[in-house]
Amino acid sequence: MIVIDPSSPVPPFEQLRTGLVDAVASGELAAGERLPTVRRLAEDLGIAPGTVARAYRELEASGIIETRGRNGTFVAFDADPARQQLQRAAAAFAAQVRELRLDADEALAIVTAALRTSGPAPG
Amino acid sequence: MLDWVVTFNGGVLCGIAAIALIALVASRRKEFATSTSYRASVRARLPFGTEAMQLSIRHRTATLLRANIWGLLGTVVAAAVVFSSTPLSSSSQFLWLVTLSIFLVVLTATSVTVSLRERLFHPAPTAIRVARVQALRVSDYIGPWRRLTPVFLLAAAAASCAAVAVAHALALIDSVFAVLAYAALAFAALAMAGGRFAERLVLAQPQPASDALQLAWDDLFRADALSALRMGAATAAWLPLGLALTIVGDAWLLPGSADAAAFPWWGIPALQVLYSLGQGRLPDPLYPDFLRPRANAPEEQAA
Repeated sequence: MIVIDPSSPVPPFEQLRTGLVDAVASGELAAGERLPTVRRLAEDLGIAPGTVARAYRELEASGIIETRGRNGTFVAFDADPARQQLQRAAAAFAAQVRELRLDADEALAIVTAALRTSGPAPG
Repeated sequence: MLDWVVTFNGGVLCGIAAIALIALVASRRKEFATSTSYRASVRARLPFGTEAMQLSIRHRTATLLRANIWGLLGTVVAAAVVFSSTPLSSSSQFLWLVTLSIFLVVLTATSVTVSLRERLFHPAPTAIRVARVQALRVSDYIGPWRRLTPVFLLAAAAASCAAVAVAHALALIDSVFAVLAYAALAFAALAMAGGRFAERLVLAQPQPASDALQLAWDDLFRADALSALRMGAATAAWLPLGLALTIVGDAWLLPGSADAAAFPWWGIPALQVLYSLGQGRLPDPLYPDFLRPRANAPEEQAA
């Protein structure tokens, strides 16, 4: 969830950019997940559409998000091929968890248990 | 017999109008919306938070109630015009047609209209604002069976209409029945397409909110509007399905007994009951963190 505090000394643009980076880093926004449109996010947060567009542009330049034409803006997959594959699998897993209406914490616990039982990674 | 049907239809229509008028008067009382909003709060497991929030929720509840009642009155007036000017007044199907109109107009159209016209909360320009980082879809608001029922019904209706076409080609049924089934299928397809368009409009509406609880309340009304749209599409899809099954059943099982009066109207209230189950609740991921049931850590589960 993004929080914009108008009374904060940090400008709204920076609050938004940091909020989106934190959401990606914490996994709240998974790779391949669609972001709200510029207009919708601007109206939700009560800020100018230009501010949201600028934050999106900057994150796109950093490779954190990507715009896929008219389909919208999405969280980018990692550049590393192995990580890219892992993130796609994670995105598919997350979609499956949502489809099955399971709790996210429960799903994470199952993954953790599966990783532990399968032993340490090779190499 | 004919007079008895006309009297019965007219009596029920007057009864619905009287109920709508009484509800309209009752809805003007503050306590009416208050008690309804409290019931919604308990059903959804969402607290009001602040007094200002409670006022906003009560206002939205009252607006929805009034819109539903006015929709009901409008439908009754339209039905009265049809009753007084067409031979439908003496038909045993008349009240089913009224029921269908009430479900499509009152329950679907009014909830969507209110959700498009009004914002639930109006945070001050200096207030903290929150927003979701993901673009939510219909599947985030309503469960798979609510979402997919209209799709399955429409697919079944299309298959049944294909059977009607075969029966028509084999001269087993009258052309009038075939045209009736195709027209109902076209209506259902239009209702489905219109519903999808309305869903996009509902999802595109901004959700101004100052905290996660306000966002959850907004999501609750949104989920109900989306569910009502799917219910409308499912109800519309039942028309060609029921009609085609009746016609084809008559043609093959009881040749020469084709009778549109045997239409399974019970499907419409059945769908309404089905969609009302679980209504007024949010999917778990849409609840604020502090209202979500805490999952046990793996260590606790192992213990």
